[in-house]
Amino acid sequence: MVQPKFKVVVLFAVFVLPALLLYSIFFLYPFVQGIRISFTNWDGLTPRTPISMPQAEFESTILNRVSSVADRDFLLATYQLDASDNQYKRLYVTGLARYRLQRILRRIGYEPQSYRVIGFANYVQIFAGKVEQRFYPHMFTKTNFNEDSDLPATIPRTEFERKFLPNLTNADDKALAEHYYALAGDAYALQPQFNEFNLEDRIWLLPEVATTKRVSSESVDAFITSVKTAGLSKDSAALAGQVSEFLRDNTFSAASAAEVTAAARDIYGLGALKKMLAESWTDRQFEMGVVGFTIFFTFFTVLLSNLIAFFLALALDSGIKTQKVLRSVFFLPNVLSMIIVALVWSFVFYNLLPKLTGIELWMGDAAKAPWLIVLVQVWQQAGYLMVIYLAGMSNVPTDVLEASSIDGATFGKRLRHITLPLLVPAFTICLFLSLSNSLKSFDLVYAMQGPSGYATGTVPFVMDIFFDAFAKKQAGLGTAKAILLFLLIALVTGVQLSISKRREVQL
Amino acid sequence: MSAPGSHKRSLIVLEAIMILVALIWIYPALFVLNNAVKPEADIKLHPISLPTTLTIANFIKAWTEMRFPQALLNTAIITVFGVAGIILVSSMAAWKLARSFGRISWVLYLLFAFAMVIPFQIIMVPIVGLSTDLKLASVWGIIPMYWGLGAPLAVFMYHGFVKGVPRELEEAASIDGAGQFFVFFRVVFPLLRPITATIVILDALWLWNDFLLPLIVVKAGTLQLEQLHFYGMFLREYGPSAASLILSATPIVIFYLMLQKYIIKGIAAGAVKG
Amino acid sequence: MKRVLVLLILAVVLAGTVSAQSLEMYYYKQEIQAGLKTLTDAFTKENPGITISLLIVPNDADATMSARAAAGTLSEILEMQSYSRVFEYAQKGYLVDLSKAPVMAKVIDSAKPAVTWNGKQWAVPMDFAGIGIVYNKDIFAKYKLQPPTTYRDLERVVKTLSDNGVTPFAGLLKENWSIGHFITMVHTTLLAEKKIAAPQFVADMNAGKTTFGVVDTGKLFSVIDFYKANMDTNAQEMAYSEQASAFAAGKEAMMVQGLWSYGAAIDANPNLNAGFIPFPVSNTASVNKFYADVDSTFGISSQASAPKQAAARKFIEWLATPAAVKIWTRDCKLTSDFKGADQSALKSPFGDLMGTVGKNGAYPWAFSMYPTNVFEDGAKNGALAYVFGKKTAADVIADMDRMWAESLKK
Repeated sequence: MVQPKFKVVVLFAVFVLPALLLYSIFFLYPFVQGIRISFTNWDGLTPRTPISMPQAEFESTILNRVSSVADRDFLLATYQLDASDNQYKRLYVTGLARYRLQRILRRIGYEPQSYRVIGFANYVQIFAGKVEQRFYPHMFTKTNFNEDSDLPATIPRTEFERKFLPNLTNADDKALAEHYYALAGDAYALQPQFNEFNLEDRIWLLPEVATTKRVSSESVDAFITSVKTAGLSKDSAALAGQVSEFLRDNTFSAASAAEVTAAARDIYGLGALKKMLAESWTDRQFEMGVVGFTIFFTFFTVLLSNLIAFFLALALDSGIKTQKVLRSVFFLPNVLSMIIVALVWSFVFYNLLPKLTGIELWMGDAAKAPWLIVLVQVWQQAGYLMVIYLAGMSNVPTDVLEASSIDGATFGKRLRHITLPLLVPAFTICLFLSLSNSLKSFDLVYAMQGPSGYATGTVPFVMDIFFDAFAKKQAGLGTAKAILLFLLIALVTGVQLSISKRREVQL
Repeated sequence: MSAPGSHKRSLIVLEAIMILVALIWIYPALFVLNNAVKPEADIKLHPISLPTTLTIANFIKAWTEMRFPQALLNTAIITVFGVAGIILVSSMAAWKLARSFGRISWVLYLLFAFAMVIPFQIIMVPIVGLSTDLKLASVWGIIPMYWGLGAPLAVFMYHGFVKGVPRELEEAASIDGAGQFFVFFRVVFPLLRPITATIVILDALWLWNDFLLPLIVVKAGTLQLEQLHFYGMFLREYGPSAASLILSATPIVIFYLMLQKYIIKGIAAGAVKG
Repeated sequence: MKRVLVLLILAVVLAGTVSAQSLEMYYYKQEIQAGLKTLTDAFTKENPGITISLLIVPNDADATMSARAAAGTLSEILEMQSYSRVFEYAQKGYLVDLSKAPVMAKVIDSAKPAVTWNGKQWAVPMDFAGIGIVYNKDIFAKYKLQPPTTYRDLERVVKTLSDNGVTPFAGLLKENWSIGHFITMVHTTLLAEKKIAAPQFVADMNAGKTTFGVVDTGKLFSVIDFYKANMDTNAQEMAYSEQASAFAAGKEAMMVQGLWSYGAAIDANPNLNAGFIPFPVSNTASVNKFYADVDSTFGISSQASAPKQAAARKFIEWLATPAAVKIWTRDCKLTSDFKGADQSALKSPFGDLMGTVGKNGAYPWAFSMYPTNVFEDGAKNGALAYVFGKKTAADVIADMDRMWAESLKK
């Protein structure tokens, strides 16, 4: 039956247009707007059409440059002069009026200072390595001691023996370090006679300072600080100068003066060790940065959640009695929102695990945090993927499996030659879903850590974008990053899908 | 070749292992349940042990401060109407697109598919502006936004499924003189049930649990947003927040348990064919 | 499934339409949510036509507020942090000029700089908050300790406590804001040691004439190291609530925090006997002052319709009445910035704060005067990254300077 062409077209439109329109309005149009924002220096706060402006500026930069009478009238209806402070103030505009206003301002070339089109500058900045260093993977030298601080009471043994001593080339330095710090249990402890607080107390507790208060605490403080400085630069002449000056400016008994000199020499002596600790107790480490963490997170969540899901499916497809109940159990985390998931795990990390294991630091430990976030994401996602694998497995004909098992094929062989090939479509879809989910994951880290994730190096790409756009007031830059992420996701999932499809065909 | 007896024994071992794994798996959820019925002081001092004194104070506090009935209603409205709309517009569009062979329908299909890889952050700010321009910044207003945002995945999945549905039935109906709407709703749509179940489930989970869009468009009054009353930067009340977790998750868990059979079938159907 | 749907639809229809027109108030101080409810309810009781619904955004309040500002969906009444945040929104035109509002005449003069941009006032200062050391008087008495007035005293107190197995400071390193306050507090006192006033420093930074490293940076970071070394060992797992409740339970002797934390602590332990002193950064006692300033302010959105603006103004005016001040001090447990306000409902640590500030003066909140990005990213994230060993002291300072320069370009 052949229908008249126009009827076909009308029907096509009736069926397709609702979805297409909604999609265009709420997805495509904002997307195009997003692309536009990525080419501006917008700060995320400046309105595109100014809300208030001094009278003279408004007239010269806007009003007088509008040629059309209708537009001028429209402008004057939207902006009203507030005579009390000579400002033109805009009424709240929305909908078509807002678009008309934007169009008028665009036509006369007016751009707010923080909402200007700047071309590819945001993109150039990202590729030239000009955004925050923490965005990129980089090497970082971690210094474990700040030379101006007090000497640590203890240094863990592994730190001392692996990260500090080997960096000392000079044998005298090594001897000095071991003179100050002695092994006690699994840490090196500062010998009591070098306790800085006690050394300083030899001056602070002198009768002239503590009892008669003839010597002010300001001058003691200044003196000790200068002795420390001299110690750090190993400047013995400066030490001698400071001591004699201090003794000259303040009146001390002979005994006290001797004590000042002795204590100052000991405090001065700590400087050599402090300098050594600050310079040599370091470790050079690799920082993943936002980009690196996103890759790390995506790689491990995709790998682990698919592996675990696959093995769960295999176990629950074996005919055990409780398989239906267990399926729901494993699927359960998936019906919880990411916010709930994050809260549940915060309970576990703060309240439960420390009590169970005696280890205090979990999310607060930069070495563990990236793995814990992967763990939580895997926990949440694996049940969902498991269901897809289960579905794939139910497509494997049981008679083939039984026949092969009678022929003596081992479990491993059956898995490799019968089950796996038939599961390739399920792999394809699971990889696609887990890849794009992981790359777009936001709620989880946002709820678990917020911006503090920068300190543990666990900020994913999308959260960095969110932080840029609003907290840092760099919406243009943030959106440019988002566009790059979009291209990355499109590329990664595109490559994955095309490889998987080719394999499906080959099999 | 192993004897049937040993096969049975290994199954029992496997079963035991899986039950153990499952217990560990839902332990975090049980942990929250356990703490929701304890007084605040007990949670801080003995988070692991079973409650010594039971209290429903946390639930009462969560219920009133979250304005739970209102939040539940709002979330239900968004989820029900949001999902219904997505199903309606997407199934119609996908069917037509899959059944018309032309360059236009192919391009339109690709256009829909393309959106699945767009991170929400790109469209976040413009979409909020749009919500005020169209006066959609409300519980009811967010619904059509979800229709548009949910369309790409739904169209993609329906499209894949429709291609596997035989044309004969609908052709037969057309020859009988039935109109296209009749053909679609009476003949085609019932055939799409498995994939419809999948999409209903996926989208219901998404809308129920969505956080960011409601945060900037609706502002307050959904379950996900109200939960934050007890768990923020400057205030953290473990008892009420555990209770609020349970209150908010219960409806969706019940929904899941009721539809479990369809869910597993539905996801399976959608995933493998889509 | 069908039945569920029918029931749901029925419920929706029965629920009916939305209630009468009302104002919305956006706030970030989650700890006073109950008090604010009492406040707005009392207002509605006196003004039956106007209802105010409260909108909390507990995390990243500023991010959400900017998104709404940009989209034109700001609430009518806005609670904002003093200085930069107010200035930023005022500069972009989002706030109503309140200079001529009668209520401004009732605000104490020292609070006005926090809301004054371009010579006009854009918000009403609400509370005066101090950051310092909240200390447990019972623990101090047990070890015969006096509240320290110099850095050396503080070191001595800390040593006595550690020697007796008491953790000196309650930790809070899971979140970045508290350590952000801390670094700027120490920095501001060190500026004073150099005889530089904070507003002068901010002006110089804005003119590109100075650097964040103008102070004794060795001391700055050694104080941070000292603070961290004497916190709970699991401080990195502790957020604000954990800090306040651990301190309230007597686990630690001191808590470096704003006095807003006192409410949370007293809720956790009503018998807590606490005092409040400035954090002594310097060994010159007279240099150590409270880090205290206007904290929250209320403004009105210029994007609200005229009738709503009028209603919001009514609310703002009402805030200075004795009835409102009473609720504010009693239920929100915050000080008031209005002249002659009756602050008697506030407990003793507030007396410590007001008494000491009255006698010695205070340092203004420099962090509120920094460009917002410099505080949000440079100070908060920078200090936390330093504590986690992910940034060196030199990097923190260099980043502060760079971010400050960048924010000037806008």
